[in-house]
Parts: sequence; structure tokens; C-alpha cells
Amino acid sequence: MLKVEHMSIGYGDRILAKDISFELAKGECVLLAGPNGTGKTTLLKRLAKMASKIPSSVSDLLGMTEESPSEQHTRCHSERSEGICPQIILIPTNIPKVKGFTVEAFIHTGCYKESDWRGKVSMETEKRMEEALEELGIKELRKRDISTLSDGEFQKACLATGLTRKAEVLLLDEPTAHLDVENRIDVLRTLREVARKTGTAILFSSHDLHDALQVVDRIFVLTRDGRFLTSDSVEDILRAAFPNLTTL
Amino acid sequence: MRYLPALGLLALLLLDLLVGGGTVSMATGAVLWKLRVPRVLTAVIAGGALAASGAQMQAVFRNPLADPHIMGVSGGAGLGAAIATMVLGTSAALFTGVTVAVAAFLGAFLAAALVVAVSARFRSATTLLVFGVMLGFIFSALSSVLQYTAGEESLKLFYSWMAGSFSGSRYSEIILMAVALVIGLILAFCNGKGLDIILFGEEYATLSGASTRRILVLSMLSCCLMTGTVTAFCGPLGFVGIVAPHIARRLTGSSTHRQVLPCSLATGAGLALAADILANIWPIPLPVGSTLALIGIPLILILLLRQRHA
Repeated sequence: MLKVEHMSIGYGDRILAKDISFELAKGECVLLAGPNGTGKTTLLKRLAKMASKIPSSVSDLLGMTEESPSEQHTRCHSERSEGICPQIILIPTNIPKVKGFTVEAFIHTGCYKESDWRGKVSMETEKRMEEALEELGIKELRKRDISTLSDGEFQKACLATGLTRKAEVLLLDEPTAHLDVENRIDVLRTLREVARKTGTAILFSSHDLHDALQVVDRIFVLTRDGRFLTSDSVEDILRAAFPNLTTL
Repeated sequence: MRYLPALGLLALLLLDLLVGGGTVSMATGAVLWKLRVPRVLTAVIAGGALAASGAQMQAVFRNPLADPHIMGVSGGAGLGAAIATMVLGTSAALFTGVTVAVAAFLGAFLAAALVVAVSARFRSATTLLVFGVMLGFIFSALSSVLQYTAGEESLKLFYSWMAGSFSGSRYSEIILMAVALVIGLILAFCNGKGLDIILFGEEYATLSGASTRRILVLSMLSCCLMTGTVTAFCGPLGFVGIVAPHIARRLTGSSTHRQVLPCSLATGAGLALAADILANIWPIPLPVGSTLALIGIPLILILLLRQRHA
């Protein structure tokens, strides 16, 4: 569904990680781990085409060819037609729970590109929202003000927005941050179920390795020395990334 | 219960028509059509315009206390008025209310244009807010410098404009304010979904496909058009822009601008009418700027205390 080849991430002259290559398959749930400051959020933003491009001088240093900036760092391939990126949606961390928005209004607002100039969504989008709320088990919260939701419930409302927007690849930056244990496990299980049932590929960053590892198919790790590690075996990759780790 | 706010607004409107503006020697019709109706219409348009501007600014800067005054737009208008009355005022032909109004209008646009220009470099809402406050202080300081060099007549005219008033507007001026209000509102409603998404932060808005720059420019254009025109004819009027959108959110129970903008119009008009009634029930009318402060400041304090408790 999503294929990334030889991508570099960084800010200005600082390269955080280079030679990032991976593939995400339909319905996969993958954890992006790594210590603070290694570029997890930057990678997610780059994938969502948010982060700034690395200057050409640095690109030259890396021996990159003269391609357009997007081609330089990311090559996306979809299953349907090569060269067309799938719908990639990033849900950032710390979205404020603004008072005066019902879950329904919040999702409609998030569908900015999918709505008309008045903010009205089509019947098709409305139907997708219904399905997403049903899928996530928050249909009864539809008319609730988002400021009254628990953090776990709000995270599910954010997920519902991504699904309503027809996300083929859903990127989540620290979706379990600030959640208590119960909500953390609930959200992680929901991610797993959403990926399986809807076929959406999910890549999320988290520091909660213990809980996250219970639900993911694979793990990607960004190391302090700028390496990007990926493996089918969770244990192998953790040993490669953190040699001092003794138990999982 | 649902129609209570609308009935309240209608009651204020009728009550305002009954107070002030005219003497017993004047014919009732003349008092009504030449003095009171223009004053009430001016209050409704000015209150609505300032409230709609405040609602947009509070969304764009994600600050519950943002309004046209905070962003220096009124300060710009004040400087324009000061220049007109004190520098150009030495020429008798230029020394008129219209000159003051046009100069205030240009000053408001200059302030808004500066904020929009700075927004091209600094995208942070907080930085822009600080810039707006500083801009207001600079304009205020420049106005004070000009006052020192002004004559007695110029100062009188300037202070009369600064005090704020809904009285004395001609129908042509009211039409001009109404046109500015309509254009400003069209811009605001077209920008409605942008104002909604920006409440969740610039990052979320951008990730959702919105252009935060477009949202900011459209809202500032709308605000400076409405505020500049109203300030030019009524003087710098504070507090409506801050308080009215909060009351609107409380009444509608929503923060979506499809509901907040029209309701802010009504609550802004209601506040302006209430202030006008309070200004005109006395034998000698009080400045509207002062009565608005008397109504607005307690409401702002209540809002702040409620937020603190929340």
C-alpha cells in the first residue's frame, strides 16, 4: 500500500535519520519506536508531507540525484496505480478538546477538504462517518460535546475523523500519550481492530512499548545514531536497537 | 424559551427608540426619524459588526480575549483621527467630522494591513497577538504625542470622537456602515469552516487540508472592513467584540461559526443597544464608550472567573 525508499529526515542542516525504507501493507498495524529526539514525529509529518524539505546542499551530501524534492525523499506506490500516493492522514498529538463541538461537528470540521464552502459534508461522507463511529463503538457519543469526553474516547473520535476521510494509511503521533492504563490498552486494541476490519494501514509512534507490542504486527525503530531499523521479528529489532535490553 | 433572546433584542430596540435624542419642542416624527432611528440603526450595525469581528479574532488567535482593540485596529483608527484633528485640523475646510471619520478608517486599515503583512513572516497566533497589542500601544503613544501639539478646538473634537457615540450619524453614513457589515459578513461566512478548524490549532488545520494563511487573511480583511468603518463613525468602542461572542456561544451551546457568527451579530447589537439606553436615560447623555465599559467589564470579569473555575 505504501512504499518508502531511501528517505531522509531532518531540519535545516541536521539530519536525524537517513536511508529510511519500508513498506506498509493493507491492514497492517506498525509501531514506530525510538528515544525522544530521534525524529519519530518528523518522520510521520514527512510522510504526511508536512515537514520541511531538506536543503539541496544536504541532499547533495547524501548523494541524491536531481529529482523533485518529493521524489528525492519519498517514493510512494499504491496497489492500484504505481506513482499515486494513497490517502495518508496524520492525527497529531495534543489536539485540543474545544468546548462547543459535538463529536459529529468535530468530525465534520476535520473533513475540511471533503466538505463544501459552508462546511457541509456529502451524504457519502456522512455514511462513512456513521460506519466509523459504529466500528469504533462510539456511536452513542455522536451528540456529546467533545470537551466532556475522556481522553480515550476523544482519541477514538480523532480516529473516526481519519476513517471518515477515507484514510488508507493512518499515521498517529503518540495516540496513547496522557492516557491511563485502561484507556491506553483500549485505544491500542481499537487500532489493531480498525486495521484488521477496515484494511487501513496504521503506523503510530509510542513510548508505551510494553502495551503497544501486544497489538502490533511489526515495529520500526529510529535510533539515536540516525539508523532506521525494521524487522518482522519484534524481539530481533529491539535487540538490535537497544543492545542493553535484557527482557521484553 | 427558544425565542427569548430574539424577544429581548426586540425589546431593547424598542426601548432605545423611546429614550434620549430630542426635545419636547420638536415634532415627534422628526425626533423619531432624524435622531432616534439613525441612532438605533447605528447601534445595531456597530454592535453587530464589532461582535462578528471579535468572534473571528477569537477563533484565529485562539484567545478568548482577542478583539479588534487588542489587535491594534482601534488604535490605528485613533491615530488616524488624531492626525486629522490635530495636524490637518489647522485648515478650516478639513476640520470636519468627515475628515476625522475617513482618517480613522484609513488608520484602522493601516493597522490591519500591518498585522496581515507580519502574519506572512510569523505564523504563530501568539506572536501575532503580541504584535497587535504592541501596535496598539505604539498608535496610542503617537496619538498622545500629537495631542500635546494640538489646539483647544482640535482636542475637543478628538476627545468627542474618542468617547464614542451612536448619535449624529446621517443615513448615508449608516448605509456605508451597513454595506461594510454585509461584505464583512460574507467574507466571514465563506471563511466559517476555516474559523472552525483553526480552533483546533494550526497543525491540525494544515493536516486537514486548510490554508491557515488564507483563513487569517480573510478574517483580518473582514474584521478591518467592519471595525474600520464602524470606528470611523462611532469612535473606538471596546468590550462588545470580546463579550458578545462568548454570550453567543453560551446561548447556542456551540462553537461552530455557522451558529456563533449570526448569534454574535444579535448579541453584539443587543449589548450596543443596552449601552445606548444606559447612555441616554440621563438628562445629559453619557458617552457610549463609557456605558459599554460599565456593562462590558463586569461581564468580562464574570467570564474570566468562570473560566478559572472551569
